[in-house]
Amino acid sequence: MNNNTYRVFVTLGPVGTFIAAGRRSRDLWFGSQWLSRATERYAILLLDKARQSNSRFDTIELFHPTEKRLGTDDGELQDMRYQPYAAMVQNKVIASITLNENTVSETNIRSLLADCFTQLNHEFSQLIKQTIIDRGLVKLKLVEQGSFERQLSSIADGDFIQIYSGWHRIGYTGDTIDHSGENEHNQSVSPETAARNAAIGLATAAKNSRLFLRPKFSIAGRPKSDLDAGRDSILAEADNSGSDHAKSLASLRLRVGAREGEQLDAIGLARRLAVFKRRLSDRSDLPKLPFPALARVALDPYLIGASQDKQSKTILNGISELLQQMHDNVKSDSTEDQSNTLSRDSVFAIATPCYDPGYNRSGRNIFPWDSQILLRDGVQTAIAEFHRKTDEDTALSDWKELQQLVDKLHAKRTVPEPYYALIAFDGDEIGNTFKLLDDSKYQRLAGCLDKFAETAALAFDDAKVHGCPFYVGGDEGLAFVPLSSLTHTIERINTIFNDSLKLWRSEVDQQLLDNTRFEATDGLRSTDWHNLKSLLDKLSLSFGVAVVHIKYDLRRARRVANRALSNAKYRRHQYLVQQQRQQESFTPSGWVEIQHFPRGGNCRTSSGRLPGPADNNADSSSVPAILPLLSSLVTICSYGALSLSTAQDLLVLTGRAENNKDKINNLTQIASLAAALPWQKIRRSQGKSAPDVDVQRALFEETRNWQPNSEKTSEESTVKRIENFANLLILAEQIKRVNQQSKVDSHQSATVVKS
Amino acid sequence: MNRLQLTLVPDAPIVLRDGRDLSLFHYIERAELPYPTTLAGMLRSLTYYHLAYSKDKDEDKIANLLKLAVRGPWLREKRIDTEGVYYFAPPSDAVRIDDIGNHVRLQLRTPGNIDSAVCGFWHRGEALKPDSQSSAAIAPDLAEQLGYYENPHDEKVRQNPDAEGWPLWPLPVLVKWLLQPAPLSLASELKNYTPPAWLIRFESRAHVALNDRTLTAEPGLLFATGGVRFGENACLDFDLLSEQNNSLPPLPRHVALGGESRGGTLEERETPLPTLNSFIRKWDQVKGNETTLASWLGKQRKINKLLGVRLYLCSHAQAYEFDSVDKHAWACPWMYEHEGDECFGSFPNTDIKLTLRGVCLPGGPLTISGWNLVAKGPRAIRRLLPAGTLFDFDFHQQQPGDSDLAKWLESMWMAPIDGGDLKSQLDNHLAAPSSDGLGIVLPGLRWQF
Repeated sequence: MNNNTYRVFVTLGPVGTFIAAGRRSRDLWFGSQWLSRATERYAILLLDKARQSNSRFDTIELFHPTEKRLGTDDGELQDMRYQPYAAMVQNKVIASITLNENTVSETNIRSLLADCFTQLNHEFSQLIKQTIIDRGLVKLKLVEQGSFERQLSSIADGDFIQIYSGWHRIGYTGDTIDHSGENEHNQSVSPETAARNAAIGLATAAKNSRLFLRPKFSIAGRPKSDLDAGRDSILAEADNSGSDHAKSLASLRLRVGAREGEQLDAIGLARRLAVFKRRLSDRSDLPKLPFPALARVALDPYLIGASQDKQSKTILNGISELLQQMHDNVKSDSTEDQSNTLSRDSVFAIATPCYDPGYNRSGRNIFPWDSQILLRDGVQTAIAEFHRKTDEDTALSDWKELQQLVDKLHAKRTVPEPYYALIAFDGDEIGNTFKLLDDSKYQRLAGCLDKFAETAALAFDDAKVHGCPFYVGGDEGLAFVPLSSLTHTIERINTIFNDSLKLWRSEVDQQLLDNTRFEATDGLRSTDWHNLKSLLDKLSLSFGVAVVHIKYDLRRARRVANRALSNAKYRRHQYLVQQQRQQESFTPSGWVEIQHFPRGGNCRTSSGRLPGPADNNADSSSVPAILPLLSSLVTICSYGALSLSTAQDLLVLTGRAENNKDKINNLTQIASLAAALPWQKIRRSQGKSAPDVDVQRALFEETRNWQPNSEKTSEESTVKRIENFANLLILAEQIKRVNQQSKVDSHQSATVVKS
Repeated sequence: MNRLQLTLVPDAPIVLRDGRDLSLFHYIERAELPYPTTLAGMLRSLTYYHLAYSKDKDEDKIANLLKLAVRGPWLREKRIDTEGVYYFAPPSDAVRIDDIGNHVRLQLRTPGNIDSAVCGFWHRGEALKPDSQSSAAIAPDLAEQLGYYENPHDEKVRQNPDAEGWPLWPLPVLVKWLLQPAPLSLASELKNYTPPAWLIRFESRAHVALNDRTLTAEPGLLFATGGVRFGENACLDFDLLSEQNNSLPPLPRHVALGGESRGGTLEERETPLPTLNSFIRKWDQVKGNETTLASWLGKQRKINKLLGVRLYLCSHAQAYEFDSVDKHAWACPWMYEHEGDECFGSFPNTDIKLTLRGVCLPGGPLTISGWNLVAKGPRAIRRLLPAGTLFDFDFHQQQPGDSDLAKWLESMWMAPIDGGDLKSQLDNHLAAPSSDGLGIVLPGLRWQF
């Protein structure tokens, strides 16, 4: 390595605005798939171009993503893989580039990055072009050619992809100011680590100024895209003339997944279509979503229950066959005769074929459709939505039959619960740990996190989870799961995280024993190793969960989950500080915050800690471990011992306490009443069936800490804890209902509870 | 120039849109003040109807409607004892609110070569070091209130969810932030003011279809709109300007604003917006002596080292000519004469030459289009710098004297950032950005700590 070696950091976007603009699960799914693929592709371009230009660059080494991770991929950006349960690449590229000795100017690095950026823009515009042109949407006049071409050209010019980069020469000390921000640890790390941190600092600073181009692609008279107000819609104007052409356009709109009145720009349309591999004109079989749809996952417990009951299974198969038949009857695009196809096409918009979630997918075939059609009023909504476009009464016959079957299923098994959990998770203190690591340890930890991501992504397909990840990469992810598997999923992902880091942790611990050796190799002082050791203890995973209706706007649901994650991290941090102040036994752990939006109610927030890797003495903590408590409450609710009324009574009590915060006696009295309330209810309900003592233990641990004079509980936190508990109880009641639907006879289960 | 000072008191939640049709797919989730262009459009429409249907219809005046200019709207809290307090977007070199509502500290940086800057590539030497002002000026107490706490290293751990955020800053605090050399204890300053959340709140409404027979809601949501509900003591101030030979039209007392024509009451206002000197006088009251901006500057420069100036956008800004050949759209033409990697220039009709050092533009541009009533269709998209954006300048050659700098600061107070250079688009029926109330700035200074 000569003194011309640089650490280079590149981060790709847009992330927030692009992914957040996903209104449908396929938008969101494609957004994260694309970002991962674009990062991979940029890394490959960087490698290839640097190696081809050996007159300028001596060596290039990738730290993230690693060459091993990239494999032998030589495809372009268009070659998306669409694997539903695969780990993705985080949107950053970290490399070490050594300039050739004859190359004096580091502008070579800038031009290398710029070349890769140009190529990536070109490939992205080709991806959009291929997705839309190859499906014949311009030829079929669904897409307005002029607008489409202008947008393509602007994308190729760099008007969409954002790249922020920084680079720093190893050993360069010309700048007196620490680029990496406020990290005091950076003072004594090795020159390689300092250079990497400085490069990251520069790129992060660059993000604060998102400079932009003039929107040359936009012209007057074009409506704006619903997904991105900054771009014109490329879809043809609606034609209400009733002509064959108008019918054909309306039919095509449905097939591309754009509903009446929805406006989409080139990127918005492409992301909606790109997940379907098959061409729309290939009508032998309709395209299938490469991942389980949101509604399918939410209704999974209901469908499992139905599939285990013989009569319900027959009805379910009947619905499935009818949907398939409606699809199979769809006529070719090219025929002039568009009659009687419109309502059939609407099935595509409301019950798109998709993967069944769950382990060993090939063996499962319960209901491989987007399951919105099974919801209360699902079929009526579809008819109201689509039938108004056609006057052909014959088109209704299929729908009527479908309605009868769905009604029959509802009569047999009740109406499905339309709620699901959107889970966002992220590692705690990972970034700070990376800042202290030299290159080899950095790669080791990154490798551990890659392994975590791979295992975690696959875990969503587990027999007990039946969910689907939108994105899992590095130490973060976003996934949706049925309510019934919420607690299991969080426990499972948390365990995988801790297991993945176990070996790495023990290695570093071992190395700490031999401090001198590492001083020599890493240039770290012993104090820094102790800093690292203390960070190691704090490494954990935090979760933010949004429990929402499947019709809840996905953009907002994602925002709620992210906000919950941010709050969870804050609560975790507060907890650590409190522990340090009180010099308690250190029980670092991740945190969970659940924001629950029950029907017709405000957001109910509950949070609590997760067991961490060093959590040997959990019972002594003043903060409840949320998952055991939630599981207990679900079980107790399933016995009918506690219900929503208990939660409401507790909330009334906390309301009284909030008005009298200054009166400690009053608060003590209220806390006592609140602590006694669940037990009174349980006692009253105890008859033939009652939850056993083990189940009640978590409840006992929780309620005994509610007294304000307890050493570990402040006055304010008493009220919060009771509220937290009440909110958790409301969630438990809902999970109970979902669990009941997965039983063979959901009616019977409900009857047992009532008795 | 004729000037009419007005106050709009919203009677109902104002519903604002961004050029997209009302539909199920439209998604809004934040409280925003009306865009100046919305207000300008409303006033021009009112004037048009007055002129078009009056007995002595004057075609020339109708043709000159686009020259009618607005300054505002500025959110004001009405107070009984004083003229009230104005609230503006937080300066982006201090804090920003990210897409999930958290406050994030920012750093300024230089644009370097303006052509390469659009790609987002930064040479190590070009990228600005973390700005001393933005990193040092966050006082610990403010940090706590805004959501910072003891762990500044973890970027993802940001906000105290229990802290009451300040999405808008009171003008007196903002002016201190912009001009005064010493870091402020902003938390204690802010505590003297009403939290903006008490003045405006976001409100979302779902519109559904009713079944004619049963009068119950049909399944399926038709569309949702987001709006802003104003508190009882909140109002919007603005000025209406016209050329000397064009008298200002009479305006009705009750007006409709925004996408759903929500009502508001127009009142004439006696008090003008505060001037820069009014703040200086409050800071530096010496008996018998009238403090001027120049004398205040002289005093400060004896103690502190002045490094450059800043320009803060108090309304969104369009910085580029609509039909220009330039690709980039985030800086005004006067800012970027080239000399190597340096971008410099003088604000129109001023003598001080400035080198553009950095722009702090969090969260990317805003986009607007608007509806062309003549062509009966949406306009083309324009991209705007959001209010709160900060431009940072060095003096290009030598520092100006106190009186020259004071003159410059006064001339920049509430001036349009393009200096009125950007023209109207008559083909598109679009007024000049400055007439639409876009790009109004407040000046600031940059001191060495």
